[in-house]
Amino acid sequence: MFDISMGSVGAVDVITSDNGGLSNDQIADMAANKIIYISDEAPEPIRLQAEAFKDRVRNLVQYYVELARREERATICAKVREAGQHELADAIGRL
Amino acid sequence: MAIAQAMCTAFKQELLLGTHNFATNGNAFKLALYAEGGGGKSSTTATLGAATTAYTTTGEVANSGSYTAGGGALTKVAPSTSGTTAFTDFADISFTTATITAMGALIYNDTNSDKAVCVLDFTSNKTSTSGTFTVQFPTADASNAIIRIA
Repeated sequence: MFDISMGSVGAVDVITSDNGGLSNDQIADMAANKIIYISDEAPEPIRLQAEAFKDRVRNLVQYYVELARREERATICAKVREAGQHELADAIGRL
Repeated sequence: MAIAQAMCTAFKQELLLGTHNFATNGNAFKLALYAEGGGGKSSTTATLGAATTAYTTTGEVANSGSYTAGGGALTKVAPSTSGTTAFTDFADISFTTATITAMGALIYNDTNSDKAVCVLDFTSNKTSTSGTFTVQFPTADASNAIIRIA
């Protein structure tokens, strides 16, 4: 006879924002959570080392998310300016 | 509790019947959001748990932004194994420009009669106001993945 311990459902995280999209911090946290999972049961020295590494990854991701958003805005600004919409381009540039 | 996290009992039976196919070219799965305390469409309250057998509109949150009745399509990640555990995963899903308050969600098989897969309990109300509502799935491994069979 086979006794199969049947399935489990994992815990999801819900991330929300008001009056706009998710912030750089929220996206960086999401990415770091996907890249590195630290078990609550990990020995403390390993857990502390993993948390330090996760913090570095999170900061790196945040920098590049911010850079990507800034560069995309710059591209949009240039396209909008090319189309003669200078005021709109300036407004986007100030975001 | 009106929304209780569970792998639906009917889903377990349907796995043995070969009803659900999580391969990337398999069935289409969706995620719908639900409210408690009369927060759903037409002031309805969701009752979801292990006994849920299929998608229902009772207690589902109202249409807002990119959220429409039935919820959003999930992008599947092919099932995998680690040790003696099999698991599958989905890409995170977001609803944008949405005003939503949800207490939980239902994953269901959109290809096969909206049959329920599992209920997700957010444990507290999660709210977006004219913003983004994102459900992030856990790390896809034998200990954390969204759907695991050990």
